[in-house]
Amino acid sequence: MSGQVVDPRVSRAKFERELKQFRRLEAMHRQRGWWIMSAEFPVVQVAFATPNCRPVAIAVCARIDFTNYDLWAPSVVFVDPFTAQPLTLEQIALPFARALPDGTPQNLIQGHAGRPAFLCLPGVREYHDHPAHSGDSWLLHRGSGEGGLQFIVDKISTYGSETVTNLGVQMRVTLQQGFAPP
Amino acid sequence: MSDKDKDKGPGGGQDKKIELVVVVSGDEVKVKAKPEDTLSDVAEQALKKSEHVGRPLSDWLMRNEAGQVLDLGRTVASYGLKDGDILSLTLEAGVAG
Repeated sequence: MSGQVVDPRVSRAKFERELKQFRRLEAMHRQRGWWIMSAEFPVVQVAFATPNCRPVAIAVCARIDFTNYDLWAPSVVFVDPFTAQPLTLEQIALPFARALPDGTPQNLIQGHAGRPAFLCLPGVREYHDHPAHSGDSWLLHRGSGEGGLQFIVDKISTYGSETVTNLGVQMRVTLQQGFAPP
Repeated sequence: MSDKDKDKGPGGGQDKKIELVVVVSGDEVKVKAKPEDTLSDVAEQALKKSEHVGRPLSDWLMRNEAGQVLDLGRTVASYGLKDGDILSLTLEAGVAG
C-alpha cells in the first residue's frame, strides 16, 4: 500500500507534534547516540551511534516514514547512511537480540532473502502488514504509546546500537594453492 | 515558627512541590511532585494526564535527560530532580511473533 489517504494536514500535524516532543529530549539523544540526519514530513532519518563502544561507529541508520500517521503505523526501513539505500538482514549485521520474559532469545530484525530487513515489533508498519501478524492490527495498538517516534527510536537504540560494546575482528583460514609443475 | 518549620527552611521546605515535565510517547505533560513522592506517583499522574491508561505502569520505562533508566520505587528527592527537569516515559517493547 502507498499514497496518502489521510488528510495530509492531519498527518503533518501529528508528525510535527511527534518531532517537537522528540526534540525536547535532545540531551538524551546525545547520551544515547541518536542523530537526526533529516526530518521533513513525512520522513525522519536517524543515525544511531554506539555510546558504549570506542571508537564510535554508526551501528544503524533508520528511515522512519509517517505517511498516513496515525491511521497507519510508521514504517521503519534500515538504510545505508551514505546512499540511503535499504539494507537487507545480512547487510545490517546486528540481529537486535533480546530475551523474552521466559528467557527465549528473539531477534527483532527479520528479513527475507534479497528484501529490505524490517523491525518485527508491534507499533511498526512492517510488523502489522506482515501476513504472519494479520491478527494483530495496528488499530489495536494505536494510541497506546507504541509506534511513536520516541518509542521506535528508543527500541532501535535499546536493542541495537546500545548493545554494541566492542568492535570484532573476524579471521578466516583458507587453503592457498600454489602452482603445479608443468 | 516552630523548630520543625525551621528545619524545612523558607517557604515550607519539604512540602514544596516542584513541576516536572514528562514526555509520554510524544505527549508532553507537566506533573507537580513533592520530594518524598515516588517516581511511580509521578508516572501514574503523567499517564493519567496524557490519557495513556491502557497499559499497566509496569509496562513503562522512565528515563532522565541523560537517558538513564530510573527506578520507579525511588523518590523524587533521591534522584535530585528539580523544578523543570524533563523525564520520558516509553512503553517497553511488545512481544513479536
